[in-house]
Amino acid sequence: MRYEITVKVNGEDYEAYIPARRTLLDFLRDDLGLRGTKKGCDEGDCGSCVVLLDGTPVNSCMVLAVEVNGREVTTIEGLAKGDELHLVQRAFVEQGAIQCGYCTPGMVLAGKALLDVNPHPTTTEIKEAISGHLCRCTGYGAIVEAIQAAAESMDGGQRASGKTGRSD
Amino acid sequence: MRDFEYCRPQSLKEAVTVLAEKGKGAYPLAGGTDILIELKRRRLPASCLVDIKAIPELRGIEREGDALRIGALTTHSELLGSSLIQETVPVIAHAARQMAFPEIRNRGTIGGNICNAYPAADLVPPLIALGSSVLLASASGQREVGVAEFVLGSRQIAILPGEVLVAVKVPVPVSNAACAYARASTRKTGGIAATSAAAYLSADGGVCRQARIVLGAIEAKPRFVAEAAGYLEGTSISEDVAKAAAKMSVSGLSPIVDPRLSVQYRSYMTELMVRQAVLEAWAEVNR
Repeated sequence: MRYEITVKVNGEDYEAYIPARRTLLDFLRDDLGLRGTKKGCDEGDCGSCVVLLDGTPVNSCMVLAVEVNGREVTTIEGLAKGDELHLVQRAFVEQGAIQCGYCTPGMVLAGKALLDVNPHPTTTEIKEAISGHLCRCTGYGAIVEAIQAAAESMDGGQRASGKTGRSD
Repeated sequence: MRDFEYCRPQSLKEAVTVLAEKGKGAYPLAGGTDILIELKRRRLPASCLVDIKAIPELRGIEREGDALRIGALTTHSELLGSSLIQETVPVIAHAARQMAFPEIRNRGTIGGNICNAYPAADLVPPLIALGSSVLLASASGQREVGVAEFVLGSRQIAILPGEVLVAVKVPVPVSNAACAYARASTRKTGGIAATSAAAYLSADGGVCRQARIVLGAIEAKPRFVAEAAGYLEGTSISEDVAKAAAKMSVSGLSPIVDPRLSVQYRSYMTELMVRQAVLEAWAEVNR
């Protein structure tokens, strides 16, 4: 059976007519062409498909697209403002927290969601926040450091209020 | 996944009407973290998913006299973030924290954890040890069933066709009682319980008056270990007493097969989990 849904993705409204069995993950990748969200295990184990649903991180493979009717989804494509990367994205680049990149979108969104509610996380809190994300190449050290660096740069941004643009 | 119908009732009345209408093949959908896996693996003959998340009656955590009423849709994240739970039944927050990781805890619900009836469900042993019950609604009315009677076995619950789990009623331990939960897994986070134990103890004058020990994950169904609990009652619980009770708990078990870990290892870990839960609950009682 197919159903009509309206969903806001990265600030843009989309209307779609989709089968009930379509997951949010497949909807984002195949219907909207937003392939930044990765498909790993497809069973809620690996974290590569994590998106923000009304600001809260969820595994998009474990959500049906019909369930998000009327709600707001943020994917990795929605973080940067034009050419300007989000602080967490920039920290991942600067800390070299990326290798193959498959886990990166989920990791970045989990980090962003954490900093949104807890701007000064401890290392333990960061590890807890990314505990549902598997990385098979870089290892977790650089990723934890990147989220920590992003938190610190947020502090810096607050102190130097009014500062805009990229630091490079 | 095979094709299915989807509907999203806005009230409990509407939900039970739809479930009764659709009959066999209609399943309530809450967080979806278990049911979607079942559907993807084609292990569930669902022809219709009734999304219950818009139903206000299934939400909220409230104190009602000597008990807490926890709405079926309460997520694991909400359980571990609730100050009311932290103050009254902290063991539930502790058990919720053991499950999966933040993203799954943001979706998975207490109602789903019970109704999915997976042997490793972390909330079930402490809920049973606390003497909790579930409130069920159908087109013909409401009823209350103990969690111990509701969970019949692996993936089997005593739910009637057309029924929805509305809320969980958890008796708040009195001031001289406490409940603790311990579990062993292959991983610190994200791993399901290989074995687990919940212990509820009450004390009077330094002596244990009432004990309930419930094992999870090791058998298909949560198990009360009456002999070990009886052994604790009337004693002042020491390390040695807890150790002896833990040993008693694992005699005569029929462990389910777990491809990851041997029966011997899980039985040994069960013993350790019982000892840990008993000692933690006892320390809490005497605090």
